[in-house]
Amino acid sequence: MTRNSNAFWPILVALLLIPALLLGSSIAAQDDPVVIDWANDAAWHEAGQDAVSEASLDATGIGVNTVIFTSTDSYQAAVRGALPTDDAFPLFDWWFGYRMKDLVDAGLLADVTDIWQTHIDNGGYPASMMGSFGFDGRAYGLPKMINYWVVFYNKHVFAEHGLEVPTTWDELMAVAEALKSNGVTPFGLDVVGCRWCSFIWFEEMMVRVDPALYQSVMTGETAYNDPQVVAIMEQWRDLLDAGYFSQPGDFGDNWAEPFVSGSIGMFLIGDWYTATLARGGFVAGEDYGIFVMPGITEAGNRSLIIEGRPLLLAENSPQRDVALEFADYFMGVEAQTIWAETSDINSPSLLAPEETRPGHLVDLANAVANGEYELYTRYWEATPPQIVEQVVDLLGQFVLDPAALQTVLDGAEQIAQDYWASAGGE
Amino acid sequence: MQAGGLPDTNQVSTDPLRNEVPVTALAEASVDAPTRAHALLRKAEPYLYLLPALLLVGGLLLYSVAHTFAISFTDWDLITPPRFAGLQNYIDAIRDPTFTRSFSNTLIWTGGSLLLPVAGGLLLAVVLERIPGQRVLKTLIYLPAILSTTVVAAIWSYVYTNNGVLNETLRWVGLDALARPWLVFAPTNTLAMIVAASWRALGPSMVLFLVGLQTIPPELIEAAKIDGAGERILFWRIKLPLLRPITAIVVIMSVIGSFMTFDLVWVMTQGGPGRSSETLAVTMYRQAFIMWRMGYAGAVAVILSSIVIAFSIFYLRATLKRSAL
Repeated sequence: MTRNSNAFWPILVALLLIPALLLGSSIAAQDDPVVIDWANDAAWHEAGQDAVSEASLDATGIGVNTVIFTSTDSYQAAVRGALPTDDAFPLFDWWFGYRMKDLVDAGLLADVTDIWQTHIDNGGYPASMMGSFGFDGRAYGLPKMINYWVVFYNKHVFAEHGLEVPTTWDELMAVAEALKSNGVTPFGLDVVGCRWCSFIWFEEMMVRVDPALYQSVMTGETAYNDPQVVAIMEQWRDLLDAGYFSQPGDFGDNWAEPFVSGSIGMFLIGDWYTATLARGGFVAGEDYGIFVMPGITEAGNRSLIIEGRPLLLAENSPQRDVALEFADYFMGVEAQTIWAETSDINSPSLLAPEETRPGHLVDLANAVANGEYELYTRYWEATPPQIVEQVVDLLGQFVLDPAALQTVLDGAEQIAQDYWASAGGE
Repeated sequence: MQAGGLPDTNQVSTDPLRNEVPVTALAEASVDAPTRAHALLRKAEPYLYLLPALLLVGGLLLYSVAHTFAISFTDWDLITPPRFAGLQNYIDAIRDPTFTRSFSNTLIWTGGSLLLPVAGGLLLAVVLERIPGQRVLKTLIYLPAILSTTVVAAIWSYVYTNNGVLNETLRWVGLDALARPWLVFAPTNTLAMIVAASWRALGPSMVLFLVGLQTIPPELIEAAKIDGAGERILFWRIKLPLLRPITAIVVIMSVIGSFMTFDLVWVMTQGGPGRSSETLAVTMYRQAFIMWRMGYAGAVAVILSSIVIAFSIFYLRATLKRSAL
């Protein structure tokens, strides 16, 4: 008995230790940091992603390794080629709206509706934003960046000619006329140096007159050559004929110089133009300001074009579940604060502290948060790329030759009809 | 078999587990094998030296060609499996007005490349051969060739902007009427880009012609001069015919280069505005990496390659036949 009792305690201790050791080792395994790839084609995102990665490692044990591609075309080809395989990048940046639809249709993206819902319920994001990142009520992308399309105006030029920020369409036209008569080009637009820029005023005129009509053209329910669309385009043609736009080939892709030098008074563009102007030494608030283009109709007053850069998760990646966990963290306040501060961007999160936002965008972000604007997806992503890529060329022809309006719209409608017919009227 | 000695060549093993090969044959083989292997190796030796290059060419070139040819008969967007489409991509391409425009632009590029870098290079070589200070001039003319196409495109984009060097110079010398947006309307935009490309291509073709001129035996020139041949006759009757092999190389390189024109156009206009300056190579790229129509792009690539190969065979045959005569 004595011998047995001597053996009893060590055995008992050993038996108790085994589960503890197993548990400990499993905890240790769980605590081992996991690092997954996050690919994109924007080198300037690297510092921000690295900073988020560090914080995420501390908070969740998941970090990210940023993989940068310097060419957008090769980036897209590499990502698309890998997506059907288990070599797919678990996390990658993409373009929202219809630019991600073929990936959704092919079942290559992880469904992130639940993550969205959690953060919408927390008050982190407006519910209306989710629609731009998915289809049929399901979301397949998360908002890495949201940009609003606004009018940038040169404060020095406005001050020199005694002009105020316009609050109505008539005031805007008066400002344009005043600038033109003083030898300043009212609006910058160059479809030669920038092929896709031809859609900027098309979408803007559409949403300033009838945003519902814009939506229905994007989904193929209304024709490009519908009389209502023609009437709106005629208004744009009048502005072109009035000489309110820069001449094709005036500045190519050098968008900062003519605005900074004051030869162009206003630029309608995404708020990412802020970074372009910063490189030109132009300071927000001091040298330039922004305003949302006034509506031509009452409905058009509440419209705001948005451009989103979504973070997508590959369904086929073996690290899909880890990516989902990271994505949930990325949508939260901590990650968004770090991301916005490091990258100097306007966080799409409504909960991101105000001090993280570029000063001139604070009021606009608050207005969006307060529901003062209806958000409309940018033309580039609002309709299938098979249509967009051809129609922007036609719109470019219209800018060069405004008299070709009807031919351009008829051509655009033919392209749209061909697509919708082949897509089975999706 | 005798233990410890050579095998008995007259015995055949009856052991069913052993090979039923006559020992005589084995013995012959054992004697001849090193010699045959050696001979075989000697025969294979040159092919073994070629093997790395063959593997590289086969793997990187022939496989790509075969793959492109195969996908040209499919619908493929990179994310879903390719679907057989027969000749539909070829039919779509031929019916597509943009393809027709790209084809015309490519022909303009070919004509321009023959006129400016080839004819210009020949003219410069002939002129520079005989004037003082030729070394400096040759260097200056060759200098743009060391720049990458992207840099050339960026430089000429600034030259061609509305307030660029070209228009400002035209206005300064009083030729305001000639100032225009050079990259906006077709075919001016294509012609303007041909000039930009020629600025870079002129130097190398001039050097090739200069090399060719140096290979002409001086006694031939002397003899012609003694016979009273002037400069014009010397050029048309002596130099130009003797430059035929070099001309063939320069022409072939220029034509192939012009059919493959992509980078300069992509940087300067992206084929626009309104696809007015698109070339076949730009169409191919757009279809592949913007529209994700790999099959259509493959069809354009096959058509493009077929034209280049057909032209090269036809031109080389004709040139070589004339040289043989």
